[in-house]
Amino acid sequence: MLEGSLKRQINLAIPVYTIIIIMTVAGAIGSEYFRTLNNYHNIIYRVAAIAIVSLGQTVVMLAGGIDLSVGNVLALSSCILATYNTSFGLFPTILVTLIIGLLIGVINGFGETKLGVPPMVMTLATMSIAKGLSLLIRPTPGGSIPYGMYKFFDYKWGLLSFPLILILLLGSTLFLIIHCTKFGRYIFCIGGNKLNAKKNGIPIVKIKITSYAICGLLAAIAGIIMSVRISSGDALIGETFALDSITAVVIGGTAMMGGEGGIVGTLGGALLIAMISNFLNLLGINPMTQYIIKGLILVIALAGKVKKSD
Amino acid sequence: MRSDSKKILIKCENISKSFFGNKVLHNIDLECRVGEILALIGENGAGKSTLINIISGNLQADNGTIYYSGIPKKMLSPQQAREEGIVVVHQQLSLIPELSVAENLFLGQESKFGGLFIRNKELHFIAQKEVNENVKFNLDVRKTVSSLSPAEKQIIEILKAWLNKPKLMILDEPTSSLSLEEVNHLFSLLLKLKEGGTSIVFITHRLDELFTISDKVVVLKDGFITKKTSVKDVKKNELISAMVGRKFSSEIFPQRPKEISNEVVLKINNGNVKEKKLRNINLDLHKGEIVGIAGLEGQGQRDLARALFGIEKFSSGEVYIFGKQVKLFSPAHAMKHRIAFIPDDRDLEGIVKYMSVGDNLILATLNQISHMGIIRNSKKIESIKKGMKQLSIKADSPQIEINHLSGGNQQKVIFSKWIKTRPMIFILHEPTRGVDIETKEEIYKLLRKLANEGISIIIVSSDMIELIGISDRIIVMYEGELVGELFGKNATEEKIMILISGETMENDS
Repeated sequence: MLEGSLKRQINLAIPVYTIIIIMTVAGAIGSEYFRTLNNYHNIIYRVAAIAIVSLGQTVVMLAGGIDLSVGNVLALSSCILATYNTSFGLFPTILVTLIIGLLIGVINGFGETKLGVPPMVMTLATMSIAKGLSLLIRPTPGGSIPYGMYKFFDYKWGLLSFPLILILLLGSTLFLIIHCTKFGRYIFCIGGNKLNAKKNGIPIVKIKITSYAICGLLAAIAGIIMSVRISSGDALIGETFALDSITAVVIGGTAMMGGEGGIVGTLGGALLIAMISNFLNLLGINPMTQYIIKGLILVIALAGKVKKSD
Repeated sequence: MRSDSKKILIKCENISKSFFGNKVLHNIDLECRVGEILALIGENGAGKSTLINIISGNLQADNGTIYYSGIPKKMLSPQQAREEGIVVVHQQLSLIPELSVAENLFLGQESKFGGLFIRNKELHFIAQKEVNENVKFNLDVRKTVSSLSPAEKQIIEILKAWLNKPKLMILDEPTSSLSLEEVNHLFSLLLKLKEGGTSIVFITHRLDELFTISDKVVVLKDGFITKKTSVKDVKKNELISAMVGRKFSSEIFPQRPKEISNEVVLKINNGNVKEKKLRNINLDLHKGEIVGIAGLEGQGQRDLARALFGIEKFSSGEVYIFGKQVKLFSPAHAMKHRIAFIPDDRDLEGIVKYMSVGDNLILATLNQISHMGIIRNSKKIESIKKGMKQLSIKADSPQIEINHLSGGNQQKVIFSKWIKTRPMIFILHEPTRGVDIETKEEIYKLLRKLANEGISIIIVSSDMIELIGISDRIIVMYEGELVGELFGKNATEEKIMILISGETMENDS
């Protein structure tokens, strides 16, 4: 028996999972390659980064904010990791990468709450700053990732792989945080009705800043995954992640303005986006059309949601 | 148990309060005992809200002392008042819509259900228990608050306040949007709270209610207590007299014409606005007539005014303008039919706050001063000059931001803006709210002048003196219906008060 936000998000996530099931069935029937283990792993690897970033985006959007800087924080992480791991050691570099992601998140949160800057504008600013930093560190893609790390991330046994474990681990952690703790409940309150949340004594500043910090941290983790995948650092690798993560969150059922939705839907949304790219490849369709398709999906998802008239 | 024998929970001694030199509370002496239900009544502006704001720490009194359980204390903030056990319940104003009823009930108290992880199932279980025990109708606490009716929300809001075990609960017009049946549910809950030892102070306009449920009633008029009595010892008409009956100064109102034209300019036939519970509205507005509409907060007059301007829509019934049937789809549409509307919330809907006075003035008549879509500057300047002169708008220059003007002058800008559209029907909602007395006088003169020129005017106002002074006749609304019409000698404050409270003329005992 489920109550509260756990139950409500499932209803909201039904559309996205329905489409996933349909696509999976269609793919399995229509394409021989789709049915291979290789393709499955392809999808999982693709999903990993998007899903992890989207988890962070979910937290921010549920609280009524938005984070456009995620893609560039991801890129910055990849650049830092690939460039400095040889000089400073792998684990210290990983630590620094995560801390920087967290810090950028805190800055975003601070900007929205204490400086009163609308989140769209604030995160646009940090997006630009992160991009600049990435390019300074890595003007062209390069650097290196220790071979051992690459092998570790690439290792597969059957259906399992490290990226999958990471998705499940982070997914469940975020799920517990958002749907089962006081902090999570307050996130919904702030997104639902900020004024009333304040009236109930909910500490808005603390919670908002934490939500952006989580988002920044997760973007940094995704950056690490991406840089291992390409065995290098690339300042421009994060370009699509802002749009993708927001799309994943919205089609997964979370409201644009926050207050309802959840992790379950977002994971579905991320999976769907990864599957679309995969499908396009298998069908031999120009992968550039994915932008058009994603844009259309976002419009359709939003159109379906706007029931409240002016 | 006689309430006389109970201890005094709150005692106000000699409380006074002024705002900008205007005294709104004079030497208030008031007591409320433990487990007592006290009704606070009085007209709009009598000082009720101010008094409860002072008791609950939202405002500070200028003089006097408040004793809480015998100890004099200054409530410096709502937080402090809450710690003292005083809770104010507004109308549905602190619930989070997307959360479930249970989650809302325990908002802020989640620690009772776990350290890191909230035991959600347990929370919902306990919430359902509380609801089942205290609320007379079935309510599934798993439903989201947004799916509740206003009455249910109100009850949940009260239940939530009560779960904090307050000593004193203050309710500000808890029943104004509830039906009779819903009011009964609310009252059962309140009686239960009373039995549990909670004191309740509630503001209401509905006299019947207070006789049903309160122990004591206190009447405020113009900041003074005019009656303080146990409910058993007083009759309804005594309360009404205590609320009204001022000396009527007719000097600021221009003379009314002896006769009103027969020509019907606006006719509403059996108008209904289903969503807003407006029913059976039948109205004939004559040329050059000023009709006043009286009613308590939320009785439908606001929605009627807005439906006539296309903001709300009539769900059934017909509207005729100059004999022709029309459908008022939108304000733009209403404007085409030469209707103008001044809304009650100036800041929100009347002016564009950060635009200049001049730009606000021409806002509704841009067509008149443009040529092929481009505003002609010379025409604009001329129109602004004319508008400012016509109503003697006091501003250093038309370029300054309109929100730097006084309330009265802002209102004049709004009037001027609409007069430029040359309306035949002018609908006004609280036209002199927040306006100084001098400007009020100017506005009344202006309205009579417009009426004499053949413009028909509907004024919706909570200021009875204003309605009596300016209208040719007064219509009263109650619960979404027109309940009476008063003219000439019958248009007295007392008679209006009776109709407004849902009484009928025959029974005023």
